[in-house]
Amino acid sequence: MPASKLSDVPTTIQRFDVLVLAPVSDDFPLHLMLCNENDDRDDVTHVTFLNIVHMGPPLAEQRRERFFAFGSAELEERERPKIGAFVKERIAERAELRVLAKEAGQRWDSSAQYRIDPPVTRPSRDCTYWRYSCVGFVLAAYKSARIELLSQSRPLKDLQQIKAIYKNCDLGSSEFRERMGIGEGNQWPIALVGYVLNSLNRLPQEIRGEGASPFEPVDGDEYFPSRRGKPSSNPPGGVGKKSK
Amino acid sequence: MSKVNFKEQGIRWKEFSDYGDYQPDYPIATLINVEASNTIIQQSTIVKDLYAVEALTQFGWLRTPGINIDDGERDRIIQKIHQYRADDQQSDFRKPRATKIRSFGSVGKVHVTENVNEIEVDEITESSSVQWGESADVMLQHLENSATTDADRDRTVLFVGPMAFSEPQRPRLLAALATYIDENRFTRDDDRAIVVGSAARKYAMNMGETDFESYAKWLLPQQTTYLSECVELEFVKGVCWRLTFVPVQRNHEFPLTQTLFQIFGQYTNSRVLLQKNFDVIALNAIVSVFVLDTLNGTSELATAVWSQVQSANVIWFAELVFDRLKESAESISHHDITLGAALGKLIDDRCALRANA
Repeated sequence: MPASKLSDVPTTIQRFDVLVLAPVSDDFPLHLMLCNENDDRDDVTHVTFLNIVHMGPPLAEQRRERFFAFGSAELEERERPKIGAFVKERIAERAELRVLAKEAGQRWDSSAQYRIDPPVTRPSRDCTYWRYSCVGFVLAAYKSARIELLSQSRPLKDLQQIKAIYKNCDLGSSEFRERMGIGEGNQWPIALVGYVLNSLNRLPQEIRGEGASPFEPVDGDEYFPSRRGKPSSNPPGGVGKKSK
Repeated sequence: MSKVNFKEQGIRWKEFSDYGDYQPDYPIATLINVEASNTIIQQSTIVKDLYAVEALTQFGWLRTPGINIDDGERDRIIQKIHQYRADDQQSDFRKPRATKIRSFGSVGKVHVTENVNEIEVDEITESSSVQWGESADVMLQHLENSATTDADRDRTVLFVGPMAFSEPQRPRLLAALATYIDENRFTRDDDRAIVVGSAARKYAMNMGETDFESYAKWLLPQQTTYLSECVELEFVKGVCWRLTFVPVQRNHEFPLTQTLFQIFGQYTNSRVLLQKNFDVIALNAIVSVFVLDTLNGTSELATAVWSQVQSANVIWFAELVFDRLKESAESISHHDITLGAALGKLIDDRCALRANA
């Protein structure tokens, strides 16, 4: 199966496979990242330490453990260097942000490089680095390898639902919402972690190559496994850091 | 082990002060040894993970740097760390919010053999007159003030990266960044190089068409020195982003920029391409050459660099360039439909991926 929960049974994870961090409450995954191991790992359980790269924020290469699930597009050899080039290009900006964080200590707000919606925001005169949500970073990485994981057509979420997901963020502040890209409007098609897992939980030929199509999530796909057609509850929260 | 007061030890690392009154029961040398063990806690580092110290102590692993731990031991220790973490959620223990100890050694390898007193540690600046969140005007004053310290100037350059400047402020911003870049672009200090890269991108994204050629001169090597490849990447990226994401006025010529970027395109030589950042430097340079050629209504340089891409015979890279060119045409179309369409046509006319690509 291309996407699966991790348990104490060893599983094989490859470079740039997608990982979801635990803890997860009620099968609602909250944080997405890329495996950044150089070699295949066939010993991965839910407590294994792995090198990863993710948009925290901040964008960072780290070593993490306790993963809830993984997803694999069964990347081909020529797809990995493309994602590698993408990561390399972004990591140069990450290095900058690391220094910034170091220099600024607690005064610097790493959410400056994060956007909830759209999940990928291009650089501008005003902000000279790419901004992503954790999902956006993974979507952009895979897009560089010609893999479109998610459709632009996604379920709309209102502020209450988004607050339940980004529980630790100060979404009551209109200024903060504005910076996160959800300042205007009442509903937004935010890209959720569960959508990506469910996208990867398809046959490889549905994910990439001729005949492939981006996954069009519907309500219920924010859970993994998907709860399509089932009454959904409010998502348990935990994404992001408390803004200052 | 005796309790250690970090302040008495002369340790100025801010993260330890984040523990408040908590004083770990471990000498600092021991903590660093645990960091050196690297196998267990890796990037999570000791300061985030005193639980790891507890667990390692339990299993007698607090010894000299360079220790190695087999899988069986590791699993037992990890289990113990989890237990401590779970227990800790019931306590008032304050975890630090940031890590300042530099991680040394490649991730996944245990090869640290230095003595503890030789380990390099990031220092935290004691005080600063520059604050995150200050207005653009105050940031400009910091940059322009000759009394600003080097550290504060670095900090300010980084802070202005995600800041908006008004049209009247823009010339001041460019002048201040130009001075900074002039003075620092050949640095071999890793942290300073990152700041220079940030300055270059901010400068490029805000520069006018008449600034392109002076910007290109910064890329020229001198008699005895040259830009490091990480600085070079940010300079090239700056131009590529400027041409792709910000409107460009016509009727300007950029001969030096074109020539230099054609040279960077030669990183597509397969002997160089797969090393360091040369693939992404070449990628950004090639996109820039295509846009500049389109602006000039020519196709010679674009044709030449595409030929180089094909000659390298690195299929994934050719695909990556092709896709990035298409994306750039689409991005440009958002603010300049004519230029976007012309670039799209140039790509269609000149770039054919090989059948097996």
